[in-house]
This record gives sequence, C-alpha cells and structure tokens, in this order.
Amino acid sequence: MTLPPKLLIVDDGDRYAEMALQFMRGYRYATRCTLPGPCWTCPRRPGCTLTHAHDASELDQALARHDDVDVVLLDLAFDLPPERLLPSNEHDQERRRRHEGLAILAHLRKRHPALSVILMTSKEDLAYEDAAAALEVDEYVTLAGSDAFDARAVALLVERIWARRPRASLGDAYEWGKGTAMARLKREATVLARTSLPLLILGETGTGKSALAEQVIHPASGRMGPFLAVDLSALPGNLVAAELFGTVRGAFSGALDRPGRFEQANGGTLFLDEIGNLPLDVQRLLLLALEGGRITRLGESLPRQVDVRLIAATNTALAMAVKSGTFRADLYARLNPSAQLMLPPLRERLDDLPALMTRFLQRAFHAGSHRTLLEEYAKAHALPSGLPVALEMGKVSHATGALSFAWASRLQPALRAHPWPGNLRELDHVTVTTAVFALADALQAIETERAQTGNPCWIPIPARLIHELLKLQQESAGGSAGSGTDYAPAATLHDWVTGIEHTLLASLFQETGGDFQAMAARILTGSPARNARRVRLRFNQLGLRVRAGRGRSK
Amino acid sequence: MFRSDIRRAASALAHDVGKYVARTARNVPDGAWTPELASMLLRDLYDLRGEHALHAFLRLAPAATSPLAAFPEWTTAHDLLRELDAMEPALRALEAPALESAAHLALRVEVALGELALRARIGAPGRRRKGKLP
Repeated sequence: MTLPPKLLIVDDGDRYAEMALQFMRGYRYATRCTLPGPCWTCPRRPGCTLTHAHDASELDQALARHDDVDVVLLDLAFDLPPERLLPSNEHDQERRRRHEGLAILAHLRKRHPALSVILMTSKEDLAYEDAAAALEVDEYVTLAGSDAFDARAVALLVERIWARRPRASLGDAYEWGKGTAMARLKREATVLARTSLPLLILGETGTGKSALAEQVIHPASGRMGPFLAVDLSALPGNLVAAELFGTVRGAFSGALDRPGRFEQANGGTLFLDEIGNLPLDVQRLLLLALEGGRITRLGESLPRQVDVRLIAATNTALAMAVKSGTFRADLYARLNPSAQLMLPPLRERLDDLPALMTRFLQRAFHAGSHRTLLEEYAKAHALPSGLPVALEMGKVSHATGALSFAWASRLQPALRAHPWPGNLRELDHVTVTTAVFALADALQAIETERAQTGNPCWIPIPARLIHELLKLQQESAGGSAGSGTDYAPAATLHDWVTGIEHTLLASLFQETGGDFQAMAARILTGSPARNARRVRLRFNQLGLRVRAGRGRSK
Repeated sequence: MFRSDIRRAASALAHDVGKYVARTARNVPDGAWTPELASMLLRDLYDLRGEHALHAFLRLAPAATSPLAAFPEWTTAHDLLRELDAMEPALRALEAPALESAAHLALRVEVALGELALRARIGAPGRRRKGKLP
C-alpha cells in the first residue's frame, strides 16, 4: 500500500504547522516527538513545540530520525536570536533574519541534495535579487508563491512534487552486487514478480530470502495489500493452522474470532519462511488455499475467498523431503518449483562484501541506539550532527563528508577466506558489532582524555577484534563440539546476536583462564582496568557464570 | 528613502502582515467555524508575533513617516485593519456573523497589501519591465 507523502515543516513560529495539522490531515508528518499517532489526535498537542523544526539544528534532528521525508515546507524569515541562526558573513541582521530560510536550504543541500523543498514564500517576498537568483539553480525547490497559507494550494504543490518523484526501480533497497548469479536472479525476480503464481525461494540460512520477497518481489508485483511474513519454524506445530487460517469462537478451548494471516494479507503477499517445517495436516489446508483461493477458519464451515500471492522459502531440499514423505508432492508441485529463485551463499559473492558491509552499516546507524552513539561521537568531536556513515576498505578518503569506519586492507584476505556459514546475517553481525566496538572505544578514548590523532571522521576498526570474531565463528562452523554456536536461526536477530556474543565471551574466558583484563586486552583498546570492568559487566549481563567458566577452563 | 527601500518595506508589509492575517480566513469554508478555528483567527488578527495586526502594520509603515502611507492601498489596508481591531470583543465572544465578516475583511487586507507591494515594485528604478505585469 502506498503511503501518503511525509512532510517536515521548518518554521520559527507555529503558523505553518498549525495550518498543516488543521487543514492538511491527509499527510504524514516528520515531527520531533516519539509518541505514536497523528498530532491532531494527541492530548498533548496544545502548546507542543515538537510538531516541527524551528531552526537548522532541529531540522537536522528531525531528518536524523526520519529518513523517509518526502517534502520539506521551509519558511523564509526566521525571527530568532542570532545564536540560533546559521553562521553567516552577513552583518545586516535584518537581512540575515529575513533570508535565514535560504541559509537553511543551502545547509540542507549539503546532506540531502535531492530532497524536495517548498519554500513558503513568493519571489516578491525575496526583496534581495541575489537571493532569488540562488533559487534558480536549485531544481528541487518550489516556491509556494502568494498561496503559502492556502492549504489547498500547498497540498496541490505537494501532490505535484509527489507525482513527479522518481519511482523506485526494482529492488533499490536490495543490494544486488556485481556477480552474474545475482544479475540473473534480478532478471528472474523481475519477471516472476509480475505473475500471480506462487513462488519458491531457495537459499542457505541468512542469504536474504525474506528481504528479496519483501523489498523486491512484493513492491514489483503491484499488489496494493500488505506484505506479511510468517516464520513457520518459530510456530508450534499445533498452532500453525490457527495462525495461518484464523479461528472462530469455540473452535477449541479459548479460541476467539480471529482472522488468520491469509485474511490479513488479502490483496497483498504472504511470505512463508521455512515451508519445509509445515506439518502434514496443514499442508493439505494450504494446498486447498492455493488451488481455490479459499480458506476456512478453524471451527467454521463456510470458506472465505482471499486474494493472496504466496511466496514460500526454505533452506532445505524440498524435493528430498517429498521423496522422504515429509512434504506433500502435490503441494510441492503447486509451489511452482520450475520457477524457483535460488539465492547464492555469501562465499560465492565475495566481490560484493564492501557494498554489503556499507549497506549494513548505513542501516544500523541511521536510527536508534547506534545512531545515538554516533551522534554522541560527532558531538564530542564537534562534528555536525546527521553525518552519513561510510565504509573505507583499504584506502582512506577524507573528502566524503561522512563518518567512515576504516577497515585495513590487510583484513580483506581474512574476510574473503572466511566461509561465512551464516551468510549475510553473519556479515551484518560482524560488520555492525565491530563498528559499535570501535565507536565505543573511540568514545571512551575521549572520556579518558587519551591522545587522539588523525581525522575524527575516520574511525579505525581494530583488526584483532575481527580476527577474534572470524576465528571463533569459523571454529564454531567447523563443528567444535559443545561450543553451542551453530547458525540455526533464532527467534529474533537480537537473540541470534546475543548468542554469538555469549559464545565469544565464554570462549575468551576459557582461553584466558578467567582473566577479565586479558579478555579486555584481546578485544578492546584503552584503559585495561576500565575495559575489564566493561567486559565483566557484559559477561554478567549475558548470564555467564565466573565460577562455572573457571571450572570448565580447568 | 530610496525606492529600493520602499519596495522592501512594502514586501515586508505584505509578508509580515498581509499573509499572516489571512492565514485562517482563506482556509475555512463559509460557516464552518469551530472554536479551534476561531482561536486561530484571533491569533492571526490580534497576536501577530505578540501584537495586533494593526500595530504591526503601523510599526512597519507609520502613517507619519512612511512614504507608503501616500498610496491609496495603504489607506485601504489601514481602514480594514482598524475595522478588524474594533471587532475584537465580538470575535472573542465567538459570534458567528462577526467571524464570517472578519474572515472576509482579513482576505481584503491581504489583497490590499499585495497590491501595495506590487505598486511599490513597479515604480522602483533600475527594473526593466518584461511583458505585461499581472
């Protein structure tokens, strides 16, 4: 389903925000508030100043939290104290105040060159002609003209901008890489997305089957309904049918009237991960749903018609399961196996490592706690907030205007030699974990006033941490008995990452004989005593026991 | 005062007073006033950055010293703003006819100040006229 455009208002007062929230309620708004729901239903709205950005600094904050802003509504004159205006060589304070909107526009352009802006003014209000000339070179700026306070006219401008936005091409959000296997996959996915036939995606765990379905096939299918994903391996066998097909009150003890995932995905796409785990009795119901487009809630007698595109995925050989009798042959045939998509494992697309790592870093650091850490670092180094994140592999470029995590070139052979049994998920974990550790270490260096050298925009990744992580994971993948690390999917990514962390610290604990200072020295740089405390804290948080660990090590 | 200064003063008047005064008036359909919308209109007319629209108008273009006061549009806008000022008690009592009437007057203020800015621009020196003016 296409969401309406998201607007961000930048105004020193509240007149534009008030007008928009009163008369333009068909849009989404990028506010600085964390409460859910639109402002016009919020009990805290009277007097609230979080509805919009009042200056350039608040604009940066809002854009750091909302990376999906479609149009910025920007006022021209800002009646603010000089310290809240952007730095300028202009001595005429009145002129500076009247044209602060243009300074904010230039500031915005440095980081968001193609973000559409409606400047809430007319050319007549631009009393200085050089200011008007500056706008003529910016193709993404529209002047609201004399209708800046006419909600219908502004809405019309937004709709025009929205209508001419470049449509996302197939899988822009998906990292295809450079390999021939992925190029072929992209071609096949393009074609198969447009059919209404069920689709089967095969690939090892962590290769991105769910992302392919959600970010590529569903958007390209043109279906207006939602995308819903169900991980069948995470559902108890006796609940699968109720989850997929829904229930009516009294179907079994405690059953309520509740739609299943098929009904919820009506008009859209239903993604069933680990289809090989589907119990045999539910396979029969799924077959009926695929053949007639009808499902029956548990406890109900009449079927309901649904229009759902089914995408199934598995990391096991379904053909073998058919032979062994654990998967129905007729259902397998119905899943259209002749047109299945096969995702290659990461070890077969090693040339894509830098692009994938960059993608993972950008995703991890664009919001949330990781972003907070990054902003803390930027603030400590007096860097502008909202800087994008980049990856430097082997070479250092200081002109990117980004905070770069620098991986030494000598690490590349180690990355390429690693078998990556957890595929993209494992690479994501290694990339983000090392970046977070490097950032935390850099922050600690500032706190302890250790000497800082080099460009603060360049954050080196400690090589030994990567070696530790890769070594540990390789050992685990090699089948070290009792290590507890296999790459079986966990219920959530957090659980999976915590498991890896757990194993890493337990292993280090054994290797160092329980010496936290030695453990800290292996993975962190900086004050040994402080690091030892941090490692010990994390060790305890993960539920590891010192006595048990020491006992094992002996 | 240079003509460029007159032009800027007229632009400031159209922007700081004309545009803001008509903000709510131009968005509310006839007869659709609610207390919330009435409150917005009251802010447009009597709390324009902390002062009445009439006072903001006279501060930016004082009758005694501003060359803009010689223009008939200035007089029109001034009269309309005085009329709106006099309606304050009725508007604060949320009287429906007063709200309707004030909205129409506010729109006329915006038009008058727009015309004033246009007249000031046309007369400014060093500006080559291209084609017909609106």
